[in-house]
Order: sequence, then structure tokens, then C-alpha cells
Amino acid sequence: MISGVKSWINFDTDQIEQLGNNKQSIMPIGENSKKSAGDTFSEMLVNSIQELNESQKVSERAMADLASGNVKDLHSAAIAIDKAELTMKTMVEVRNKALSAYKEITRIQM
Amino acid sequence: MGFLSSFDINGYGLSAQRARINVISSNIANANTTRTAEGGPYRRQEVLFKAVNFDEVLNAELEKNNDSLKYEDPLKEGERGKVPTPPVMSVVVDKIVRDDSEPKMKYDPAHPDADSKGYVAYPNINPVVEMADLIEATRSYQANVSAVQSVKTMVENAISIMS
Repeated sequence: MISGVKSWINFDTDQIEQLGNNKQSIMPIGENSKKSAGDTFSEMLVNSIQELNESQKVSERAMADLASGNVKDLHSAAIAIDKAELTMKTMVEVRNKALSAYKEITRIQM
Repeated sequence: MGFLSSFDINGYGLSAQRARINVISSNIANANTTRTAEGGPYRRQEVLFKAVNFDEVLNAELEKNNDSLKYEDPLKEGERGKVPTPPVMSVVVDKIVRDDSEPKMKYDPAHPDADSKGYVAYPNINPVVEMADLIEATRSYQANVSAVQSVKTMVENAISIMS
């Protein structure tokens, strides 16, 4: 799924980068995000999707542990699930934004 | 993700309070225990918490690049640490300590563990104190949960800016 997203995004951003060469100004503010995010938008997106994938896996494991009675601390499972939920929500919003931008571009009259 | 790190900080807090509740439960359960593996009556236990470096990478970065991390001393209370190190701390259970105050002596000559004068050494546990500690631990746990919920609401609000 991730590679699919990457190719789709690459197709999109290559053109966008030609339009605006000042992608540095679009990049997030914190020094943390600058380091981990890579330099292109697509890399940033792929990274965050991978992060989302990780948190989903962790939450899945937490839920399996809950179901099988393996869990040591109930709250750690709850926190893992909460984190996964919030990351998922963020990603969904980002996807919505990206899709609406894409749609906006496709609607341009030639 | 960075914006979820306070989840982990409060997660440590929750674990610490749970450990504390375990110890208090042990105290309450053993309030009348006169025999232990170490000999003598059960002795009250207590947990000691310790602040730990929450995220070494984040803290190193903060210490290096943040000049606001310096204590002001408006009351001139003396030089007790110029900077908070590490800036972001979480909590773990450092030790479980034994309360070595005198056991309660009760006169009961018929008891198998009575000494030569007929007194039995009961644990140095006051159930009222234990109940108060239990309530405190429960409330602390609740406070940590509230903090997690607040962070969750904040993040959800931040997400709703996008939509």
C-alpha cells in the first residue's frame, strides 16, 4: 500500500515542485520534523504513513493482548490504542487535504 | 510522533501509581499478618518515586537549542541548580522501602506467636493511613488519566483545524 501511495504522490509532487521551488518555506517549523521528515513532501508523507502503520500494529498487538489476558497494564493498552486512533485521524485529514488539492488541480481548465 | 509524547509521560505516571496501589493493597491485606519469610510480623512498605529522563534525544536537543531553559530566582532562594536537567522528566518507581517503625504489641497469650510475656507483635500498619494513601493514589491515577484526555482533546482540536 505504501509503495502505491509513493508512486501516486511522486507523480503529483514532481510537477508541484517545478511550480514552486521554495519548498523549504512550506516545510514544518520544528527542528524535529525537519530532521525526520526527509526533504521532499513525498518522503515526509511516506514516513508518516509508515509511522501510522507502526502505531496501528502496536495497537493491534495491544488489543490482542487485552483479548488474551496477556496485558500487564490496562492503561498501556489504552494509551497505545489512543495513539493509533489519533495518528489515524491525522493521516485521514492529511489524505483528505491532499485529495482535495489534487481534485482542485484536475479541475483546472486547459 | 512528537505530539503524543505526553501520552507516554502520563503512561509512566499511571504505571507508577498502579505500583503504589499494589504496595498499599499489600499493606492492607497484611494488616494482621504476624508471620513473614524474613521473620517477625509484616512491616509496612512504601514506594519511592524517581524522576527520569523521558526522551534522551528530545532532551539533548532541548538543552542544546533552548535558552529559555534557565531558572529565574526571584526570591533569591540560592543556587539550587541553574537549569532543569533533563527538561522533560517522567516518573518511575525507584524503590520499595520498608517502614521499620515499632510493631504494635497486643496482649494475647493464647496466640501462637505470642512472646514470653504474652504479647503479639502485629504489623505497624494503620488502616486509616493506608486508606488515605489509597485514595491519594487513586486520585493521582485519575489526574494522569485526565491529563491524557486533555492531550487527546487538544490533538483532536488541532486536527479539526485541518478539516
